[in-house]
Amino acid sequence: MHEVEPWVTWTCAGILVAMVACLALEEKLHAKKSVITGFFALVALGFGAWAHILPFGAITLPNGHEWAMPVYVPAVDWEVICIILGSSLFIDVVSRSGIFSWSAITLTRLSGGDPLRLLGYYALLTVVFSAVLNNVTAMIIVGSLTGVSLSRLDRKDLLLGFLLTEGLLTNIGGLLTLISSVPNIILGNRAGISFVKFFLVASPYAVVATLATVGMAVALFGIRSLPAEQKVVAERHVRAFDANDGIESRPFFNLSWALLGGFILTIATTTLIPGVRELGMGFVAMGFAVVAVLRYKHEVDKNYAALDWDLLFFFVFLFVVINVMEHAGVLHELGAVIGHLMGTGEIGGALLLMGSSALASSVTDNVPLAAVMGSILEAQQLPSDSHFWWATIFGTNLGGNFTPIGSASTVVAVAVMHKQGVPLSFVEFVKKAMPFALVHLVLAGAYVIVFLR
Amino acid sequence: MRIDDFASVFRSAVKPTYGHSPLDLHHAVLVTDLDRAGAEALADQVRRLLGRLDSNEHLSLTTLSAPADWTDVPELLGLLEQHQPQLVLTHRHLLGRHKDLRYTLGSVVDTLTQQVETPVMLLPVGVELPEADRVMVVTDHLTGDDRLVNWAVHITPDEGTLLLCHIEDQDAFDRYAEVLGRMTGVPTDEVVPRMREKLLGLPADYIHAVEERLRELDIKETVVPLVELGKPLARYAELVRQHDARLLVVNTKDPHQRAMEALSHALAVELRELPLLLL
Repeated sequence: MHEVEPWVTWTCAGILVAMVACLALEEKLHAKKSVITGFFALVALGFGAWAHILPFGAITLPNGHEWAMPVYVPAVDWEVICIILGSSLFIDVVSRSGIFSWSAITLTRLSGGDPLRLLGYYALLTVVFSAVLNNVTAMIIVGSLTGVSLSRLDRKDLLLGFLLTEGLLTNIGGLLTLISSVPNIILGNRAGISFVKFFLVASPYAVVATLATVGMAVALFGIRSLPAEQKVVAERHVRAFDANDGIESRPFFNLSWALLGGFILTIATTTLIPGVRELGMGFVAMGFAVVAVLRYKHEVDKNYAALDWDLLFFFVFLFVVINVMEHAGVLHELGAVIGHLMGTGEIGGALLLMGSSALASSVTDNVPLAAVMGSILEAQQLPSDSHFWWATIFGTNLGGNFTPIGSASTVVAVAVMHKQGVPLSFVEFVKKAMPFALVHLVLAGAYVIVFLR
Repeated sequence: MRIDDFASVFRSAVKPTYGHSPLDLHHAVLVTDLDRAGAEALADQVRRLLGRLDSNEHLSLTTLSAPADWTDVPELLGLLEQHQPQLVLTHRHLLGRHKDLRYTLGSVVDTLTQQVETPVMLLPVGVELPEADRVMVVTDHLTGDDRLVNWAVHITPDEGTLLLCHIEDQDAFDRYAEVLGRMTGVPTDEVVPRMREKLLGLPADYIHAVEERLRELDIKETVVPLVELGKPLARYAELVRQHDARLLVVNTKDPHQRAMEALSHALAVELRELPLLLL
């Protein structure tokens, strides 16, 4: 790495801290994430150019040709962007077939309207949807259904317990696969963990943490099974749900199941298929997105409009900022601190890494944290099966459960609560979520130390 | 798709249900100002009209004739309080000197329909009444109106026809569509047909639920759904003729006003040849 003046490093560190602070105060600033990171990307690039720390000049293509590419283009991790863009588009299209609402309503009917069974089924739905879709979409689907079904059952008193449990479970489900959450995508890619390996390592923890969460919810929110005489009425209420209502085309519905199965299978076997292995998961995600949008080839603009462009631009600008930080030596300095943490021992280092990641992601977005930590840990040249990677993955995902702003899905959970007339303040959320989040972290710490070290 | 989109998907998936319940009807009172022979003839007609109720529910019928039994409205209300009937049968222009006035029902009927909680059946006079084997429920808000449908189901004989009619006001719909067309950001071409579809879909789903429930209860009535956009009064009159309805069942009370509900009053004025059950 080229020599960087300390004042340049410290100035860039100040820019990074200011950006993270602004992201933490996103609601207060009334500014979208992409606008905040976009602004700081401009500042960082401008400062980097002025301080001569950016590697301007032509790049050499694999065929030997030189190409004048803007410095901020290779700064972006396009593999991550393609995975997020492709899978978001793909999921938006197949969700219009009604497969997710069908699954959710079918389970609602199967519950017979019994609150205890309903909580169990919705917990399962939340975890599976968070794993297959993303945790925000999972929370939107299950949270919306919870509002409608509990109103139908005249059990709005249970809304808070259900929605909080679901919000917390999105971050458990978000741990299940490599593509379930953005930190997983970033950290998993940097670590070189395959999809299958990720699932095999994360799933035992997800199962135990889900059971613990549901058990705690039952105890803390007093969710009980209905007496026999009330079951008949509840059964009649949920029978009114028509699972087929949202299905506009049965062939497309069936095709969507096949596409979703194919998508998961291909993502899972990306590293095993020659050609696809080299093209990567971003190619798989974009490929399935293109195949799926053929269904709406005349009106694909609606699918494009449904994408979370704020999120996508947020990632692009964030990668640019982090790239400048890398050139400014900020990540090198942070790496030294992290290295010091890891140096406290295999157990202590992992727990410190997990705890500090969780603490940081509880008050600000976990994506910048994952991006910074990914770059730092990659520079430490850790093997892909190092438990330090897993400590960071668990910490960044689970930290979001401590506060309502810790993860996008808990933000959605609180939004659904407000829509349903169950307002929950920041402090009340922390009070109610704290026991769950602590149990999640303790379980994760024990799992990492006992089984992954 | 965002929170509101999915909430709409799930709300749309909740289909209306029909709750069938037994009808507590064993005593009816016929209020008339006809002479004895006319009153008896009308009572016979009522028994034929309500053949199913008479055979299934063992309906007893008491006749309160004016001026023999009552002479003014307060006296009549007092008698009804004593008898506690579950149904009051009467006809237009009670105690009126002009029986052929086309624009009013008469003060007695107006008072009865609003002041008495008991359903009132308005009978045409001087018309041969056949059995009510084709009963038409008429409303602009059918979905969830179990009471209205329940009465009609009980009156319709087995193998009879139950016409469930819901007309959405075309003029009101057009007005809303026009307002939507003036709003930027609203894709009117897409929204208006979907609004029509959802508006008519709800009563159609409810009628489907009625059919299902009757099938479960082994009630062998043929349910005919009549759900559409149109000019309500004119369209109801057309449908009555087209389907040869023998009895109309309508809501009479409007919680927001003392006067009779607008549609039922209009129907009662227009369809003078048809018996109307005013709930």
